[in-house]
Amino acid sequence: MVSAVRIGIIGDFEPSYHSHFATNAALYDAATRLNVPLMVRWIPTPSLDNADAPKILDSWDGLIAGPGSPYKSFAGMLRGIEFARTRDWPFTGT
Amino acid sequence: MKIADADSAENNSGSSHYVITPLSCSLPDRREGGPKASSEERLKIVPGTRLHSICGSEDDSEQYYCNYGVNEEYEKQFQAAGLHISARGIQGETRAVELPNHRFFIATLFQPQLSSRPEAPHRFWLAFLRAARQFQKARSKRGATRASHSRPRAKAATG
Repeated sequence: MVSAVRIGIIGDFEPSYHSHFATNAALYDAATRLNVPLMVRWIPTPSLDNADAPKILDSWDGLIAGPGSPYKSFAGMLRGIEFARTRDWPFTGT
Repeated sequence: MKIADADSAENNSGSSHYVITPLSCSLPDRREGGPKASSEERLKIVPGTRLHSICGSEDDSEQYYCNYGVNEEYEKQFQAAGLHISARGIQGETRAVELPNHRFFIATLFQPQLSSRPEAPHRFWLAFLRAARQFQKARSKRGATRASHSRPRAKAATG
């Protein structure tokens, strides 16, 4: 069985934000077209503002800095971006 | 960039280096009650960038939903730190940046997700997902090698 590609979206999900909903939807649009099983989860920014951040981030195959600033934890967001930048992890922020 | 207190003006920290500041101009066709940039904008994708290889042309048009952007006063410092500018607005404003020697590291002011549709997935997200899938495959290969090395030990531990 092909295991799902795991995408972690760093951000504080609000179901009422169109951009948030659209981010999830666009990933699934692409996954359907590529015929790739996909798992998407949001990673709350405060959960990354500590030394365990790399452990949390390591389990994802791609990381996204989600829209919707200001974030609950700017420091958590920066840790996420730094992880992707310094460890060559697929990353985008839109 | 080696600017210790670099911050976004949105955070109101009192930093002397706001590298992200409110957009100076609203986009035309701004939505009522929406942020300054809440419509579509034509932009120029810089040839030779990864974004260009994804979009396939210099001319593009994307959806926005934001109030803040790169403070152009820091553009040279961003570039000196290794970020390449991969898209510019009509007035030359920075609209996307990327790291050239990275597996996939692109940040955009526009939101390609806003124009993706089930019947027409946005090529940006197709490219991102392909990169993530490749990375997953590369990692699972490495992981499989590790697992086969550690198997005897694992057996001993459970037996």
